[in-house]
Amino acid sequence: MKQKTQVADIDRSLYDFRFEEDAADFLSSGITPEIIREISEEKGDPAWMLEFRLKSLEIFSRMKMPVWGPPVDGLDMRNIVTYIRSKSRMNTDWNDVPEHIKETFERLGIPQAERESLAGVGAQYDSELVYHNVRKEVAESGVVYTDLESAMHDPQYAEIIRTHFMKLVPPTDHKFAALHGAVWSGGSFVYVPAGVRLDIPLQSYFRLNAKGAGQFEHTLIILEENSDLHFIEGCSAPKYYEAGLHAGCVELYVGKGAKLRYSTIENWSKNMYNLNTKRAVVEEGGRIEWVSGSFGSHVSYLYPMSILNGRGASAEFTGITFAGEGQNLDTGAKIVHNAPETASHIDTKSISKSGGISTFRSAVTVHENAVGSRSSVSCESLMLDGRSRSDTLPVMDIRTDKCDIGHEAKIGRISDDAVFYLMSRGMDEQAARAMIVSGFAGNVSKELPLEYAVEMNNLIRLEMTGTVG
Amino acid sequence: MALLTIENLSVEIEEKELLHGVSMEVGSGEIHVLMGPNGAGKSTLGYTVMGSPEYKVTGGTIIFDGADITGESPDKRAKRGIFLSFQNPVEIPGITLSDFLRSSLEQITGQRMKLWDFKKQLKTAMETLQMDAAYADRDLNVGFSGGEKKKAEILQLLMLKPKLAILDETDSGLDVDAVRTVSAGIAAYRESCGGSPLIITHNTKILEALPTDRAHIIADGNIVREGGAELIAEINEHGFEHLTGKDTI
Amino acid sequence: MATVQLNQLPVPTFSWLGVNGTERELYNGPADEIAVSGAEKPVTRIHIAKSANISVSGSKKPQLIVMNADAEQAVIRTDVHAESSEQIRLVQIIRGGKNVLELHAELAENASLELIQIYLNPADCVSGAEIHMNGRKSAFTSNIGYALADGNALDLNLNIVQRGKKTVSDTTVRGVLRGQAKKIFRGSIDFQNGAAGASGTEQENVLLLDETVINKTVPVILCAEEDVVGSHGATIGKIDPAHIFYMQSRGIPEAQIYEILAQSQLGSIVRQIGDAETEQAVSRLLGRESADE
Repeated sequence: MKQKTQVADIDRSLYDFRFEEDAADFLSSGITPEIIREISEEKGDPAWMLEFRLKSLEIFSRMKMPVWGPPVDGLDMRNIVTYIRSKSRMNTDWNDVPEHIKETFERLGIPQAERESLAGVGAQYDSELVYHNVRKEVAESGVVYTDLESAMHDPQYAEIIRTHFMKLVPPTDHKFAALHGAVWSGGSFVYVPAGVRLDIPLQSYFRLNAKGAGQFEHTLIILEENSDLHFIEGCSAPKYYEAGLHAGCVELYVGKGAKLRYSTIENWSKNMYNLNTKRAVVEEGGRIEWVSGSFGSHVSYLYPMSILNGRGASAEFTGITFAGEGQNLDTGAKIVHNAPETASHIDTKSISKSGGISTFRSAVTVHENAVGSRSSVSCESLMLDGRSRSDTLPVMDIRTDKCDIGHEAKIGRISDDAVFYLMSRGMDEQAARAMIVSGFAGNVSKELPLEYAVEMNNLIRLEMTGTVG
Repeated sequence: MALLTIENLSVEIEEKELLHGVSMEVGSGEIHVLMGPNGAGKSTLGYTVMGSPEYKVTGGTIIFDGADITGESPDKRAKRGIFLSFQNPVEIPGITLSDFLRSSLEQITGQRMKLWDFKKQLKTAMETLQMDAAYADRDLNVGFSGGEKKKAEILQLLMLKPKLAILDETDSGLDVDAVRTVSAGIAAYRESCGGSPLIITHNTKILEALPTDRAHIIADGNIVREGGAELIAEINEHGFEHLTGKDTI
Repeated sequence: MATVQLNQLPVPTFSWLGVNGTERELYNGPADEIAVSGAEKPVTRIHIAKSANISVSGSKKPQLIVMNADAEQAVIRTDVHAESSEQIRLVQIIRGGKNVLELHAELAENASLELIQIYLNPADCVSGAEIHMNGRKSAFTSNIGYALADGNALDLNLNIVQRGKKTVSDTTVRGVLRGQAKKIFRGSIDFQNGAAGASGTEQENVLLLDETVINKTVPVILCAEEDVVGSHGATIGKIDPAHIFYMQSRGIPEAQIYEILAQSQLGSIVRQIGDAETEQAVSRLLGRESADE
């Protein structure tokens, strides 16, 4: 097919990986089996875990970078090694936190106490209280909520971890999953016994201690039959790390008739490469609900996947992505219909502003056995100026006739009529535009607990400051 | 001194002149009616007084409450006490009518009303308009029928209590009962704050229960007649044709 | 024969889905050179039975060009140029075997192209179109229909590049898949920076009649301009049971209902042709294709 030069130019600058061969080689050689052994020894891994890490490392050095998605060539891979080796790096001083993050804290009204605790991140993050409170309340029902390392050494859970850890997201999934398998550290383990329904959400806590937790944290959640949980991932504050790479992994096992809601408001610092992998497998009659807000990071690759493995299993994904200056956020969702009468719904909004690039990317696959399945996808994009970019890239792969699949996408700008209407009721232009954008994000804020919805609206207001000009 | 003084106002949209040197006055506390055939420039006048950026003022001035507001943004005009009831109010998803009204009130009055007081006032106003209370928690105008949208505009009028209320064909597309309700809403607004409605309409039904002080007839972008309430009766009988000297169909 | 990459998605996505493009060994036998000008007569009909390079130019008057392609193995390239204020209506009826079709269109200011493509069970067809809407207020309308059965495969790519201000594109795709048919449709609207006031819309509706079909739909919107309105929609699935019930209640047996609905799925596309002779021929073929089973 004849390619017009103008098309080719844009494609190249925006989407090609300029990841040179030798850079990839360097990347592989940057982390050695010796370093992995060191990490493993320090963490006191069981033998199988050391083996797992070494195998993952081998896969990592073999695998190629993805050929799609935003460029990651700005990522300095030496930082990964430096970071893994030097744990004291996490002892970041509040004075070293960049101005714009401090300002965000101030304007979000994060209490002084919490800010001080961030200042002493390496020493202590003040989440113990929350954690113990929750545990006390839920422990009696048999719910386990602990860090993955402790659980791995607990004879009661060691076997569960071994049989579930990176089984859903194998290290062969992609290059950064392999990296995660090799160097993972920190994270949460949640186990909800059959029939237990938690009324209040559990919130992830970040033990940013000297063991190098955070950037490669692993979250493993197992819901037994007919249980119910709402899990909220690190919402209360922007997280700040020295190095620019986050390659976490979330694995969710939703049993028969169980329901899990997994909410995240991500607001990483804007120098972060967020290459996170999240995946859920849902058994018969079970349900996974993702609520996801992406505001931070320099580059994001984030597409939570739901594998509907049992009859009548369902998935719902509600997301918003706000790409501002210097941000290239590539987000979306993947759904695999792998059993009869499964249902999925994706509802996303994306906003691009001040040269930001936002891409909605999705994959809905309906297998031959998924007879009687339904899926609907709705994505809406808002362009706030002519310097930004917004792309929508959904794929549907349908292999049975007995299904109903729908998709709708819309793109546009804030209407002048709406701005005038709000201004005629006393709002200045900036407030009017901010209000319209907040309303646009209503799909997500309606799904969040009130305090998080408020926080999200604050984030939007913050991002909208200075739009008019 | 008049509340609103329009002097020799010329307005264009996309390089087409729609008003050619219009002048008129609205005195404080008076009820004015602006009538005229389709496309005469009635809505243009309303939108221009509110400050729509779509309409370009090419000549003349708009004086409100002693201040020249000709170049002011719509929000500043709203704060001065001008209100426009839109013919086609926009739908804004994600913001509830109630939240929107509270933000608007806060902007215009400069103070945040206590939630309890606000809810009480809102409830009373909705009862006046025979609106189902559930509308308060629905997204602004989203999925409202034509009549519900018009009532939501009058609800805002009752809550915001502006000095000047331009009602752009608020009665169009409403059934007889709804027109009566809207008319009662306008009366309640006058009673509550002594504000001045400027009613833009084709139809004189809405004026039955409102004592009109002055009527202005506009045609082809010019004010062609002005007078008292008797002018309305004249139009009821003879239509616009004899006033404008033109076939208006 | 050389292997070439065809129908590339303008922006690649997840590799495992296998939708980023396709490759074929390109048949490179002799090709006819054909020039068609819309100015000559109101309806021009051409029959393509082997490889061809066709150039189509527009006219200020309404006119229609009907291409009937039923080659066994061919590469058919069509270059469309609509100069300022010219209009072109191009109908392509595609049957036959292993064919590769390429369409490239350039639209100048106020030019309009109306494209109708109807795929009548081709064996293995790769068809890509690139529409460059360079001129201000240029317009592109397309109506694409396909009926695919047996083990036949159709790989479609439509890439609409809206570069000019106030350009308008509107695409409707309707199809029926049965047997072991395999089809992919990639439809992209690409709003380039500067295309202020542009609008683009695209809708695909796919009817699946057998559990062995494979349907892939990739509706892409790329946008680098604020002042645009774009929308995309797709519905994929089985016949609405309410429709079946309604027709059964009027005495029509189920097997026949499928035939009727399969034909009606493409009926609205066929009616867009606007040339009675062609419409009748296509309807006849559609009926026969369906009755082949």
